[in-house]
Order: sequence, then C-alpha cells, then structure tokens
Amino acid sequence: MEKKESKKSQSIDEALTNAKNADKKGYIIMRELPTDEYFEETSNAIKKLTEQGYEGVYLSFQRPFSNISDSFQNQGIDMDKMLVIDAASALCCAEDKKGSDPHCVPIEKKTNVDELVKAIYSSLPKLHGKKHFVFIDSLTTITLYKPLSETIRFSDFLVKTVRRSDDAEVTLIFNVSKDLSQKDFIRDVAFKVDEVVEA
Amino acid sequence: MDIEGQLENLSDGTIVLLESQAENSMNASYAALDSLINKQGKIGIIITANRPYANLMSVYQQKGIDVNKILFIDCISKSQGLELGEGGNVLFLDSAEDLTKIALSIDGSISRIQANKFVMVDSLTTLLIHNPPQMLARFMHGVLTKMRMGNTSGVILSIDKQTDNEVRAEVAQLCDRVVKL
Repeated sequence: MEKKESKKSQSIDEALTNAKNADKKGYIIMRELPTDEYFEETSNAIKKLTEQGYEGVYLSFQRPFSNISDSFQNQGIDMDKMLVIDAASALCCAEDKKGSDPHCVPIEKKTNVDELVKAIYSSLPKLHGKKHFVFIDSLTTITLYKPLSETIRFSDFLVKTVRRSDDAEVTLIFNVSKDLSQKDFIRDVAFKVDEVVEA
Repeated sequence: MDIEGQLENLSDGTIVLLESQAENSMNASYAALDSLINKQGKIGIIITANRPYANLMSVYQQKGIDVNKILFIDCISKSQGLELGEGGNVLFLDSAEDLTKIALSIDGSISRIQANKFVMVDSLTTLLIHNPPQMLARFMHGVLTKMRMGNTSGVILSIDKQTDNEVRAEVAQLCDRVVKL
C-alpha cells in the first residue's frame, strides 16, 4: 500500500494553528531545521509555544540541563512552563551541576528507551493548563548511543501514546536536522506524523 | 565580517564550528587563537591530530600567540614516532584513535584549569581519518556535553566539504554557531 505523505507547512505557527483546528487531542509535528541554526530555531519554537499558553516536557539529547536552562532564560523563556529531561548528560554518563533543579527530571545514566518514555509520561501530569507539548530536540542524536531499532521503537511508542491520549491536548514535536532528514528511519517517522514543518 | 569579529563578542561557553578551505586552515586557527588567547585572555586546551606539538609551538610563537596560555593534547607525535620534545604544557597521547583517552584528557584538563578557558579541536576532518564516523560523532557529543556543563568555550576546526556529511551535521547542530572562513 502506498504511504500517504504528511501535510507540509513552513512555520511552527502554521503547524500550531493546524493542531488547534484539528479535531483530535494528540497532534504530531516533525520539524526539519537548518543544521547551522539548529538551537536558535529550537529556542524560537519553545518561546512561541510557551507564549501561546503551552506547558510541556522538553527531552534534551543535545545539551545538558544547565545549558538549556541558562539559554532559555536568556531568551526570556519562562522555565516554570516546562520540565526538562536531561538525556544528554545521562547518555554520556555525566552529572549536571543543576541536576537537582525542580525543572529537571532526573534519569539514570546510560538510560534506555523505556525509561525515557516513562520519564515523559510521568512528567505530563505535573504540567498545568490544558495545552501540553512534548518536544524531542533531536531524533538523530539518540542513534549515536542506541541501536536504530530502539530509536524507531521510541518514536513509534511516543506517536501511538500521543494518538491514544485522552487527557489534555498534547502536541508532540520531533526536531531533525535538514541535512539528516533523508535518512530512511526519519522518512518513516515523517509518514507517521500529522505535519512536517520545513523551517 | 572577519573571523576576529565573529569570535570577538561571543559569550563565555559558546561553542563554534569553524570551517575553512584546507589552504586556509592554519590561518583560521591563528585567528581564533589570537582572538581567544591574546585578546580575550582565555586559557586554551588544544587537541591536535593535525600537527605535532613541536611544530605548533614553533609556528604559534612566530605568529605571536602566547603559548604559555596553551595546554596541548598531542594525539599524533607518538603514533608517528616523532621526537616528543620537552615542555610542561603538553600531554602526549598514543594515537588519535584512542577517543576514550582523548576524552579523559580533555575532562581532566578542563577540571584542572580554573581560569576562563576554551577547548580547540584541530581538527574534526583529521579525527575522521582515524575513527569511524559514528564513533567520532558520539565522542564529540560527549565532549561538547561536558564542556557545556563547565561553561567551557570551544572551537571545532573543520575543512569545508571534506568532512563526512553526517558527522558534520551532527556536530554542527550541537554548536552555537557555524563560522565559515
């Protein structure tokens, strides 16, 4: 059976409007970001989400909590509107000096996919408001540490869980670098999402 | 804007991927070191897989770089059987293939140097000659994560269009800025 391509849009604003208008509680977006402005684009999206009344869980594979927290606060992002799961420190077995901050969700060193999913779904009920996001900062970085099969299982599980969600509105956002977006497993994920944003 | 201008106003802890043509790579490193050491007064930890310590000491001194503010992690002299030379500002590692030892040396150096510091990797392209792309990308992720924890600045040198695309993309998205010379 031929796979149906996901809807395409040019900006996170457009995608969030489509998410709002969609007649479902779980909406899934993949953002293909310019590699050389990756974190800047990520921060801009988080700023927009929090300014639009979303609260969420930010899964960071790329940077430790202290750096995320400092950078976001410098951008004027309200950290009270999010919980950060510091997978970057855990994957390389390091300990962040701000790991005990209430906005940081601690996870075991050398964490596995099941723990990550569990950390996301045990964090969601701690958020306030009705509009929630789950933000995955990079789908390819996890493949540096985990087999591809585990990464695929991780994204599939998140997609299915968000689709089944019957709590608040949850928008799941996967970030990926444009230069890596043609990898087979990323194309597969792109077919499963509601919308692909080419930033 | 020239390279000095691009590096001048970066806040502490900023990590830059500095890409140049092969023929300009030494100029790129001189300019970065002049800005970070001579002008900003930072202490540098340089991981060299490109040129041996003795050679770098000589050319940096000729270019007026204050080498007393540099700790070299030399990954090439031993494996090439070169004379190691003497100096209190160098660690000679067995080879550029031993990424675990390189990572440990960087960690140790970062924690020993209390002053405002940066790490320079010279270069991503050369480390790729010695290591599989996936392993090198993972090594860079680990090193950059630990640098960020200590708010350590960084410059990753790379030769434009001669670095494996996937490794380049993985590393570039971990950096705060990409500067092309």
